[in-house]
Amino acid sequence: MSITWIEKTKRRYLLDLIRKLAVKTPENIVVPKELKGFGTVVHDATKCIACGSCTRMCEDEAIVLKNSFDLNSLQNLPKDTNAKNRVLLTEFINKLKRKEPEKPVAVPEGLLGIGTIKLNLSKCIACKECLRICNYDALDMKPEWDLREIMAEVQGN
Amino acid sequence: MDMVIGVVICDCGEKLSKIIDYNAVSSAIEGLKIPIKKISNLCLDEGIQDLKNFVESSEIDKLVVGACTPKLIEFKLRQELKTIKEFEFVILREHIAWPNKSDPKKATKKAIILLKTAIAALEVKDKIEQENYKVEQGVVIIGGGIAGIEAALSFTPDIKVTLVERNEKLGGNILNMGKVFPGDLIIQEVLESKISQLKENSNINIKMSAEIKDIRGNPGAYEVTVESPGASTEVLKVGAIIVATGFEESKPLGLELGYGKSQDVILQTDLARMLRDNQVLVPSTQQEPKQVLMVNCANSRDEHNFYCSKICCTYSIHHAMELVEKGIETAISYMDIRAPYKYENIYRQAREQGVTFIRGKPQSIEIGPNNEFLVSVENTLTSQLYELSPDLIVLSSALVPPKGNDKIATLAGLKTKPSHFIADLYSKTNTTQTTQRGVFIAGSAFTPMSIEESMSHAASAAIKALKFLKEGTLTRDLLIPTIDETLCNGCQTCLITCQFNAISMIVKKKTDEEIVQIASVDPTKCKGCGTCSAVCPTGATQLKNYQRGVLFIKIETIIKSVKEEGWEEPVIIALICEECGSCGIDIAGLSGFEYPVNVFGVDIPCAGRIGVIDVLKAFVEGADAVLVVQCPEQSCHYLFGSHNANLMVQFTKNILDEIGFESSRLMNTQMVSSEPDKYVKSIQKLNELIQEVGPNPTK
Repeated sequence: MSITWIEKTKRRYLLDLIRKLAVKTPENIVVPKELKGFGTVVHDATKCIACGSCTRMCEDEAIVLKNSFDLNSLQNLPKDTNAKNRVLLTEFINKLKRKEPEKPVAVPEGLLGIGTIKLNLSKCIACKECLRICNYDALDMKPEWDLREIMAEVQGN
Repeated sequence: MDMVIGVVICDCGEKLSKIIDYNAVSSAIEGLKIPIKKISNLCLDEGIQDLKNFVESSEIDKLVVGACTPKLIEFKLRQELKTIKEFEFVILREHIAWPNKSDPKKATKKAIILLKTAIAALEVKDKIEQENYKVEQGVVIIGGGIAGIEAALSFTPDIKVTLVERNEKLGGNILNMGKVFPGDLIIQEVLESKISQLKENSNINIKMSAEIKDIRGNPGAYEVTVESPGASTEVLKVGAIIVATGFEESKPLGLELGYGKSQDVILQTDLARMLRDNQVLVPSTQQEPKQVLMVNCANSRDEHNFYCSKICCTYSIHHAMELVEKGIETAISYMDIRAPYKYENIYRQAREQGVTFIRGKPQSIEIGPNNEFLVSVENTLTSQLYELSPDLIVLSSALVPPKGNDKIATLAGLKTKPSHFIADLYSKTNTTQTTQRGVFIAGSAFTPMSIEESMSHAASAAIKALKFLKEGTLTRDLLIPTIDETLCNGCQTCLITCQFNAISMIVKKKTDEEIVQIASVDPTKCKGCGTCSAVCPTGATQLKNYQRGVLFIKIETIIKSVKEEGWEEPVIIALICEECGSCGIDIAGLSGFEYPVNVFGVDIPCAGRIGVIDVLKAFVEGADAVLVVQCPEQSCHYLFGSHNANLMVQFTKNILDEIGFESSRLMNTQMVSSEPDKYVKSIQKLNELIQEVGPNPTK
């Protein structure tokens, strides 16, 4: 078993402890400014170009690229972005479309550089590496620990 | 200074004039104020001379060539016309004239449209720079058997030779042998003298118990990673590689031959070891055997190993003679005796000395209650049935490539034969050259060989390698992607996609405070497929001369010229891989296929270059259908390109479905060059489809 596995279980262990102690449904917990390791990553789909660099940066698999791509997410891309290929893609889609896309498009397994960002908040250790690597300001860190969602996620697993 | 673009068209000795109206073509191009010249027989010296005069008088820098396939003339034109910065080829003969014999009017229009497209593309195309690089004066020899040793000794002292052996001793298979054919040569003595010669040569470095971990780079500049115990992993920079991995004797387990069931069924190398040590004993009793049966082709020339291992006949006969000399009765059961060249003498000698030959394989080998053998074998020449009870059975089992051979082949990018031995490039004329330039095969890594054959093959491989190394410098086209540093965001998508490890991340200072990571291309590793530019989310990676701009201009010009020429039929844009795709269409023309004229080709180096936006661009401009012509996935010249194209096409179809645009207008076909009918069928199918669903709705 690798070390990362132990690291993850440590976070999981904490969540188990909280669940045992909890007497009411948790709400957002404010994280003191200087405290490292806790926080909630917020993903802004309108700024994201789904290049996947954050997913490769994240060693804890807290942020992954899903095999689907939402065409509508690109519509609000800023005009001065350097994601020229994505701008063209949006432009061409707008010209060709006969109807509004309703659901995300499936990305074939193995096609790189495109997809949808999915967060696994329960695995996140708030190291902020993904924020650092993102050139599109699509990720942000809230100084809050979204315990309710994290709990739901863990139970869902 | 503006570049002057010129056009030359060839009518193939006036044969094409019957189909294409060359005067109409000339006047259409002249209308664009572009110099144009018609030449008959551009492939002949007179034609080249005419072209040279035209290029000189009109001061042409970039040239559009409308003639036969560039596979025939490109090399010669590039050689002869050094002043031309860049060429663009329009295949008038195979792609336009021949497939449209019955419709000369449309063929002419198509020629004009594609010539105009080529002119527009040339305006933005640059000269492909060439780079000279030094050939590293070193060689790695993989395998320290007799072939590897002989190859190492064949190099001149100025070449740095590294001999890599995975075992603890040099010598490979012959370590097990004593006396070898022909004659009574004791191979151990030969080996010892060879090894001492190796040690005398200061240019030869021997790595024992070592393993090849990685092979990278280009012909003339390979980087071979070698790991050996007790030493740190070393990266050797060499110009050439010699694969001398030899063979190993297969273990015929699970067959009706008793091997693995009884310890008294042994292999020829076990017997060789016993003869070498002068201790021929039956393993179970430790007594000298009275009767020995050898079974040749034990598991070869059958469904397991369909080939003949070639040397087993001769060495089994040689071993049998040694046994007979010791007074041990010996019989050989065989399918055919294959003792070529002078070894026929050994065969005759063996019969004279009293070795029994039985033509036929044992029907069964049974083991009796006291561990004795009961063998029945029919001599098919005399229809006699032999009931034998030998005390030792020796199998001549198939000689197969050693374990790890496939790994070496994969690392070096070599093809293997169906038998998994390393394949050669041309089996008739050059059996030491592999499919990869700068990588050579020596000895039994190619096919099982006798010691003397192996040594001469190895020496030949060494000489070929030496000749290659002595070329000194090599030239390579810099057809590689450029990275726009302002656009690259260091997402590493290209790095993961590249199959040749040509892309790495470098740290760049953007401003005084901000340091960013961006991609960088290593021209020694890049093969120029352009798959990286297809997957790039930002468009920072652009393959030179096949960049987005060039593809877009080609598509735009096709659609624009179609309108100018008053073309009424639907328009199909074909994105064609220059490897199998383009060749296949050449062959369709050569084979006399006729197909609808309304397909306009845009060349790309590999289908992997195609991204979603390239396909969508064609639809946005008004193409009624798009056809992607690619190599089959397993035979993609760039390993991953065709697969990536499949993924891209599937993804584009998904998008088109979601936005309500008929995804059936996009089609891809995988073909090797010998399947031109696939291309023709695809075009017919797309035309039927357009009939059904109507023209592009956005037009």
